[in-house]
Formats: sequence, structure tokens, C-alpha cells
Amino acid sequence: VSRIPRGLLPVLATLLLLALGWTVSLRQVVQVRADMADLLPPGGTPAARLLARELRSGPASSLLIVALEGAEPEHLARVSRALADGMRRSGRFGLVANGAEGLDEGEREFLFRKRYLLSPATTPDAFARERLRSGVERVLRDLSGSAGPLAERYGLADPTGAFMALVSGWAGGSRVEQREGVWFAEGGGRALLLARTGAAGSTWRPAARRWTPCARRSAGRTRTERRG
Amino acid sequence: MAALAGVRESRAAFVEEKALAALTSPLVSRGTLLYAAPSRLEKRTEAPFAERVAVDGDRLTYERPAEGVSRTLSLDQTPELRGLVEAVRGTLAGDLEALRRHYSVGYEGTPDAWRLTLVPVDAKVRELLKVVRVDGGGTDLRRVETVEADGDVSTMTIEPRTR
Repeated sequence: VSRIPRGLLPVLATLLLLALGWTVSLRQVVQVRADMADLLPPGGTPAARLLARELRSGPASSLLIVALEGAEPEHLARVSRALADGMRRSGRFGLVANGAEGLDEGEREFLFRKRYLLSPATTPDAFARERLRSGVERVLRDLSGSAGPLAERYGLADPTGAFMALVSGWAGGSRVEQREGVWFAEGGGRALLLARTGAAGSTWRPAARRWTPCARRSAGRTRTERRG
Repeated sequence: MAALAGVRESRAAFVEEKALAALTSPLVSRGTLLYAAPSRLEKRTEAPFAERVAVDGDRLTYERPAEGVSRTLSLDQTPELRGLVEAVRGTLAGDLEALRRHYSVGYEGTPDAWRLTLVPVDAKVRELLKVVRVDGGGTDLRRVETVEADGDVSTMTIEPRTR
């Protein structure tokens, strides 16, 4: 400050005030919105309206995928666990998943109960006599194999195979790997974490902003642990 | 245990009989077991249908060639499966420490006819698996009996093959 000529100070102060005023008024005029749905044309058809509604309040608007990279897989896995724990504890997320826990009992139970509604194996002839007979025979055969406990739990009550078709349909297309007990993208360079913000609506940007510092903190913590 | 730890590789025929609470008669399957120290274990079922389960370290591969089914999963992800794998693998490797990580281990008998009684340490695993009894003689496993919490019992009888 000492190098600035005295006479300039009032000018600088005025400029500063102007700049501040400018930002404040700009904020009032230009609303910053993070809603992707604004980019859509107004929905004319029911399908377009459904899409707009889903983008505003459906899963697409509240899901975050977090990728952690730039370290060894084992380190990334530790960060992923620490971050997921922190996010869960915060209570701000409806769901935090990083692969460390599979579907819990309640979720499995729910999917099993709704298997006929959800499964691609539910066809008009799924309950025909011959189909059911071959289904029961398959369950019996599976029971004798190494996946027997699975067949016992889900096969006996489901000879049409609806539940297994549902689950393997999901697993089959997945390229997410499990490393060090958590999800990684193919190749193992990036740990993946999935979160759903608690509030409905397009809150993904603020949420991401809030959680970036937290991720850095977790990373820092595990790094210090590793050194120590 | 020390004698078992000296075995580098083994191959054996097995017959597995499962008595399930849900069925009136037992289910029988047969095939080959392969082991390579310290952590490879493979179970090839030949009848009543072809199936292959291979464990290498933490990775488990499950295959049913006739249907083109092939799945790989991590044992970390499935603690109950890990328990079962470690019961056989830990015994074959003569790795008492590995066994104790998952089970409270009881030993009785003589080196020529011994029995290990394995009770899962983890309460969650115990909800599914009650006890595993491993019978053997010298460095050979002869019988693995698995008693599940729901009363299902699987008995695997093993016959060493030198081929």
C-alpha cells in the first residue's frame, strides 16, 4: 500500500466500491440456476412433460457420481470409504453407495417381492405348465451345485427364474469392478461413488461444491495415515 | 498343520451329498478338487452338470460352460463365501492363522486321523453357517461337513488322486 501515491487512494476506493456494487446488482439481475431442465423446450406431449418432470425431481436430478483418481487403488479405496462414511453421517444424502456394501436385506426383499413386475423373464407363458416344470427341474439341479444356497434362497419360491434374470441382467452389463472392496471404473484408475442428494430437485451443483472440500479432507487424512 | 503347509499341489476326487431341509432326498454331485499352494483352489463338478469354481487369492470365478455363464467376484464382498473358502483353503495350506481369522478352531485326534471343528467367529456368518468339520489323515483331507444354520448339511467326501 505504501507504494501507491496518496492521491490515488480515494480513486481506488471509489473503484472498489463501484466494483462491489456492480457484483451485488449483477447477482440480483442474473439468477444463477443449476437446473438442467431449463434447457428443455416446454413439454407439449405427455412424454416430454414426463421427461421434464423426471429431470427436475426424478433420480436423474439428484444422483451424483463421484470419481476419485490420482493415487494407487488401495489409497483411493481408503478415500472412497472415508468419504462415503462422512457423507452418510452428514444425513444430507438419501443414498451413498461405493460398493463396500451390496444390497441390504430390505432392498433385496423388496426386489424379490416385485420380481414379476421388474423382470425381463416375466412373459405371458412364464407360468405355463411345461415352463414351470422345466423351471423346477433347473432349480433342483442348481441346488446340487456350488451356487446351491442361492438357488435355495431365491429359486424355490421362484421357479420362473424372474428374480435371477432381473439381477443377472444388471450384473451382466456392468463394467464396474470391485477392487479393495469398493467400486472402480474399468482399468482400476478411478474409484467410483454414487450418491443421491436428500432433497428433490436439481441440487447437484451445490451438493458437489459442498462435498469437494470434504473429499479433499478425507484424502488428506488417509494420506497422513499412510505416512504415519 | 505344519505337514499340510508342506504340500504344494494336490488333486482329489470328491462326492458331495447335500441334505436340504426343503427336499426329502439328498442331492449328489461329483467332480475333482485341485489345490496349488498357497491360495489357488478349484472345484470342478462333472455331474450332474459341469460347473467350475476357482479361487485365486481374493478372486472367485464361477463358471457353467454349458450355459456360457462366467462370473468373477471378490471374496471381500461376500463374507459368508469367504468363510467357506477359507475353511478348505486354510486347512489345505496348513495356515492356522488364516483359519483363526474366520473361525474358532478345535482340533482332536491323531496326525493319522484328525478332525478340525470350525465355528465362524463373525456373528453375521454364523447366522448362515453353523459349523464346518474337516476330517483328515496325514496331509489328506477326507471329509468336509458343512452344517448351515437352517439345518442343511452338506458332506463332501474326498479321495486323493495322484494323477
